[in-house]
Amino acid sequence: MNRRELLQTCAMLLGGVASAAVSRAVMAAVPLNRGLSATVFDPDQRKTVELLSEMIIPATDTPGAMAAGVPDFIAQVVAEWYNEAERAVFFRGLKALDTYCLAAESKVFLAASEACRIAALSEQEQVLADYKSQHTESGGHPLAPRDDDALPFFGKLKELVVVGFYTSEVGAKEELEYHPMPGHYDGDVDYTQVGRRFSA
Amino acid sequence: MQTQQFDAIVIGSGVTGGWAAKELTEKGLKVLMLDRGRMVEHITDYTGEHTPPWQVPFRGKPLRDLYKDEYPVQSQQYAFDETTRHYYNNDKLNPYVDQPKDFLWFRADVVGGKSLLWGRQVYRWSDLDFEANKNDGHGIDWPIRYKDIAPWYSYVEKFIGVSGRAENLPQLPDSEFLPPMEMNVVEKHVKAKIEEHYDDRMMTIGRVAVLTKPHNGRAACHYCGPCHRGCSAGAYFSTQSSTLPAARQTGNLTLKADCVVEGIDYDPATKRASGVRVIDANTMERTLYTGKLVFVCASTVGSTQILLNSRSEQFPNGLGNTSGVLGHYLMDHTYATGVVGVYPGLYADRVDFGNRPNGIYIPRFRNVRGNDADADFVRGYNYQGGAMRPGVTGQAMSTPGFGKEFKESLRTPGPWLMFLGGFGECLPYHDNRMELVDSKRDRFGIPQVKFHFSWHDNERKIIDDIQKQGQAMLTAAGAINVKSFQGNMPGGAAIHEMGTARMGDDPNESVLNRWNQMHGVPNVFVTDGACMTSASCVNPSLTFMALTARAVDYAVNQLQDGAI
Repeated sequence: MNRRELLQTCAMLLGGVASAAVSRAVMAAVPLNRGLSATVFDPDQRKTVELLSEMIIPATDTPGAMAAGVPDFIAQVVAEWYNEAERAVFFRGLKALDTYCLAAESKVFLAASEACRIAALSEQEQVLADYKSQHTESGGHPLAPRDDDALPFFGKLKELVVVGFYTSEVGAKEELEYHPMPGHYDGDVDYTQVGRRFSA
Repeated sequence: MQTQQFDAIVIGSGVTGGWAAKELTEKGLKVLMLDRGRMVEHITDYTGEHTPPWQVPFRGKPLRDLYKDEYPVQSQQYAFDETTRHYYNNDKLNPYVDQPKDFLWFRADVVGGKSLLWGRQVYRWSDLDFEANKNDGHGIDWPIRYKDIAPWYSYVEKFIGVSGRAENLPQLPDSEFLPPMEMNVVEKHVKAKIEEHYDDRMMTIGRVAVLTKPHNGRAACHYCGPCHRGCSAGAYFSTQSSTLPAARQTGNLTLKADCVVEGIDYDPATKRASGVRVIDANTMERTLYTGKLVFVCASTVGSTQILLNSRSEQFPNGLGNTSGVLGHYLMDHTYATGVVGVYPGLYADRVDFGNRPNGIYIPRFRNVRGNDADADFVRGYNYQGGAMRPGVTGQAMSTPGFGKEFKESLRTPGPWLMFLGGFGECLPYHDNRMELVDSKRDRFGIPQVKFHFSWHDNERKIIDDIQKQGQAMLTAAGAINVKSFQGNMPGGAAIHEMGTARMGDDPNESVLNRWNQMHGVPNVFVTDGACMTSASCVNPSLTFMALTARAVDYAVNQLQDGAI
C-alpha cells in the first residue's frame, strides 16, 4: 500500500475529523483494529469459510476467492459489521453444513467428500430459495438496498463472497477489466472483443 | 465583539454563494464570503477521490450504527458513503426538530456546499414555468419572465460549460452547449422507438455541467465516476473548480470557513441591513461583520433560517417578513417514481465503456400546450434515466448455483435494462413550510428548524401519470417485464427544495422583488432556492446561478447609482 493509499484509507476511517489536514496529521498514530476479526472463527470454522469461499468462486483461469483475500473480508464482516442476529444465522449455517455431512457420511463438513460438501451447500441454497419465494418484495425502488437479518445463511455467505471477490484488488484486476480512469465514454463496444465485464 | 467592514458579505459558498462572490469581486467590490462548514480545497481535500473498492471500509457496506446515530438524515442520500461522508452535515451535532420525519434536509457542512455533491443536471426554465402560477392560480405570479433571465442563462453557461444537444423545444430552451455526451446503443434504440410511436415527445441526452472539452482552464471529463467524491480535473462545476478560483484571482475575496451566521442586523435609521452576526463553529467566538450589501446564499432552508432568526422591532417575524410568507410555500420535486424494463437478447454483444456522469432526458410533454384533455392534473414532469447492464453483485445474487460455471457465467453481463425516473412539479402550498422552534436551540443557541410538508392531490396524480406513461413508453419501445416503482419520497428527497422567501411584485405577499432584492431592505438579496416562486419540474440549479449573476449586476449598479 503506497503512501497516498494509506492516507486515503486512514482519512476515511477517521471520517468526521475536523479537516482533511487534521486527519492526515492524526492518522499516523491510528492502528487498524484486526483483533476482532482474527478471533471470530475458530480454526475449523476458518478452514470451512475458506473452503466455502473457494467453492463459490474457485480458481479457474483466473484466481479464486482465496487468492483474493475473501475469507479475511468475511471474517471482518462477521466480526465487526454483522449484528447479533446476523452472526447467529451465519454460525447456524456453518453448523448446518456439519449436520448434513454427519448424516450423509458420518463426517463433519471439512472431512467429508467433495460431492457431499457440494450437496450440503446446495441444500443451504435451497433453504434460501424457499425463503425468497415466501418473502417477495415489490413496489420499492429496485436499486434500494435491502437489509434482512433473517436472510438465510447461503444468501449471506454468497453476498460476502461475491462482494469480497469482485471488490478485491485481485478480483477487480484479474477477473474484471479494471479501468479506474477510462478517459472517454463509448456507448457501443463489441463485448466479444473484451470478453470480461468492466469493473464499476 | 470585533467589527470589520466589507463592500459585500456573501452568506454561503455553494452554487449561488460562489457565484455571488465571483460576480461581486470581479466588479471590484471587497467581498467577505462566509460558510459554516470547514474548508475544502480543490484537489488536496478530495480525500475520497479515486479510492479503489478494496480500500473502502467494508467494501462499501454502510456503517449502520454510526450512520443511524450521527447521520440519520444524510445517510439516506444517494451520494453518501465512506468516500464522501466528510462533506456532509453531522445530523447529531446539527439536528433539526423531529428529523428525519416529514422532510429530508440534505446538506453539506463544507465550503462549496452541495456544489461538490450535486447531480450536475442543468436546464433552462421557460415561460411555461414562469407563467404557470398566473395561468392556473396556484401561488402568485413570478415577477419575471424568460426574456429577463435568458441573457443571464447564456452568461452563466458560457462560464461553467454545459454539455448537451440543441433540440429547439419551446418548453426546454437550449443552452450555450459544449458537445453532447453520447447515448449508448440501447438508449438510442429506445429513443428511436419512442419517437416513432409518439408524436408529442422526444428523448435527448442529459444536459450537464460537466465538460466534454477543456474550458476556462478546466479539463474535460475522464469518465471515472463518481463525481461527488471530488474531481481533481475540475471537469464538473463546483465552487472549488470554477467560481472560487475566479473570485480569488481578483484579489478582492476574503473567504472564512467555520463561520455560522446567527442573524442579520437591521438598522432602522438607514433602513438597511447593517451587519452579519457570526459564531465561530469551533471556538464559539462571536464576530459582527459589516458590509454595504448582503447576499444570502446559504441554501433554501439555511437562508430562511437566518432570515427568520433575524428579528428586530421592525421585523418581529424575521427580516423582510412584513408579508408573513417567509418560511411558507416550501416545495420540492416528486421523486423515486419510475419504470424499468428489460431487453433480453437486444444488443447482447454490446456493452458500454466508461462511467458517464449523465443520463438521458425526456422533456416534459404533459400539459405543454394548455391542459391535456386526458390529464387530471396541472403542470407536469420530466424523465431522467438510462440503459445499463446489471452490475456483477446484482447479477450474481440472482444467478443460482456456485463454482466454476457460476463464476464464468458472470463474465457475460445480464440483459440491458432501461430505467426512467420521473421528476414532478410540486405546487406552492401555504401549509408546506419551515419554522424555527425557539425552545429547541442548536449548539450555537440558534433555534432549530421544524418542517411541515406533505404532498397533495396534484402531486399524487402526477406520480400516477409518471408510472402510467412510463410503462406505456417502455412497452411501446419493446421492453418486457416493465415494472413501475415508487421509492421512499418524503419532501426533500429530490434535494430540489425551493421556496420559503419567494419573489413577487407585491410586498404584501412576497419577500423579494423582481431583482431578488428584499422588499423594504434594499441592500439584502436572496438568490438561492429560497427565492423561488414556483418549482417547475425542471432542475433548478442553473436558474439559481442565472438569478444570482443578474441580481449582483443590479445590486452593484444600484450601489454605484447611490440608490442602495
